[in-house]
Amino acid sequence: MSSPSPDFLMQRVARGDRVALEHLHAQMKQPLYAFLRRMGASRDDAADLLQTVFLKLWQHRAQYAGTQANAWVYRITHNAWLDYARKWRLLDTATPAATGDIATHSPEESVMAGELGARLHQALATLPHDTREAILLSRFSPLTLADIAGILGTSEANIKVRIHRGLMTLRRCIEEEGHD
Amino acid sequence: MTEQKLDNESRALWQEALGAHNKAIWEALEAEPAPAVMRVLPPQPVNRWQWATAASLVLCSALSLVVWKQARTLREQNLDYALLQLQSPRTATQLDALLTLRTLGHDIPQHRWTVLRKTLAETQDPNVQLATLELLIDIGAITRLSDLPQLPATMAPQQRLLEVSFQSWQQTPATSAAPQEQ
Repeated sequence: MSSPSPDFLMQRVARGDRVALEHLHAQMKQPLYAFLRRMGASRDDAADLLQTVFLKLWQHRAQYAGTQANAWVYRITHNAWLDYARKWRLLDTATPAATGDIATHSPEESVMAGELGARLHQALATLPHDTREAILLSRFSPLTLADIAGILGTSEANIKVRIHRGLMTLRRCIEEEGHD
Repeated sequence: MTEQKLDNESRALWQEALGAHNKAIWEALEAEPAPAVMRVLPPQPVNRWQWATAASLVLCSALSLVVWKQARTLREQNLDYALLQLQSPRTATQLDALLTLRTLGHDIPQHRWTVLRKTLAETQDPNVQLATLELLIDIGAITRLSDLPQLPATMAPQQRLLEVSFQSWQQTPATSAAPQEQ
């Protein structure tokens, strides 16, 4: 049996169903957490921000329009991250996480993923935050480019350009190091 | 790797920009698993209606206790007064007292039965005798038919009624039986 859709769960949440929120959390926590980590939050801060996102989802559940739950959730996540970034002055300067804190997979992949992941993370950190965010939203969320443009307050064409340029930077990062 | 339903446009964009490096970069961007949480939301605070309900229940319980205690005190006062009235030389007063004691019924504790027995032994009035006997049967102070004293011959029908009353009391279920006199 497939899991209930985010739209269904969010509609239940809007009616005050705390259990539905728990299910939504279980479904979405990993991509949201990964997004926040790649945006530059530490493990603890990303966990805190994730908690904040779901608390805000609950507190503002009456404002949910009834559709496009993913866009709703990611918009709240985007706003939570912006507040965090402004507080820690991350918007103007690139602040890559310490390499020791970079995500790894299984022990067998840790070397490859660790090195490449660390370099990609550094490369991401050099990008303007709105470009980084556009790339990471397209990586971690099922949102369309139009949805992403709506969250970031720009046009779809602009988003395509940002994502393309940002990905080209990441590609050059790999090619300069000679990875396949 | 996180199962990701990528939008078709995004997929095309990634493939166009990254080419052969698409998969490697995609996978390398994954983060460690999100930490588990005990609960997503803080515990639900008790709302004002629940507080009001709880406060009402406490208040009602307190009031019920006060009312019950007052009622018990009143019954005890009535019992004391009725037993005092029973010692009056006036027959009418005694009969009033016996009527009150009938309404109190099983609230009359065993150690107060001696007052009733004394009244029965001392009274010359057959109506007082009869009323006292009825009360004693009612509260279970007379447990044997042989304990029923003989009324004057002129009260033979009342005597018969007493015996019937006693026998019907004997046939009632054990839960309603009065405690045995020591």
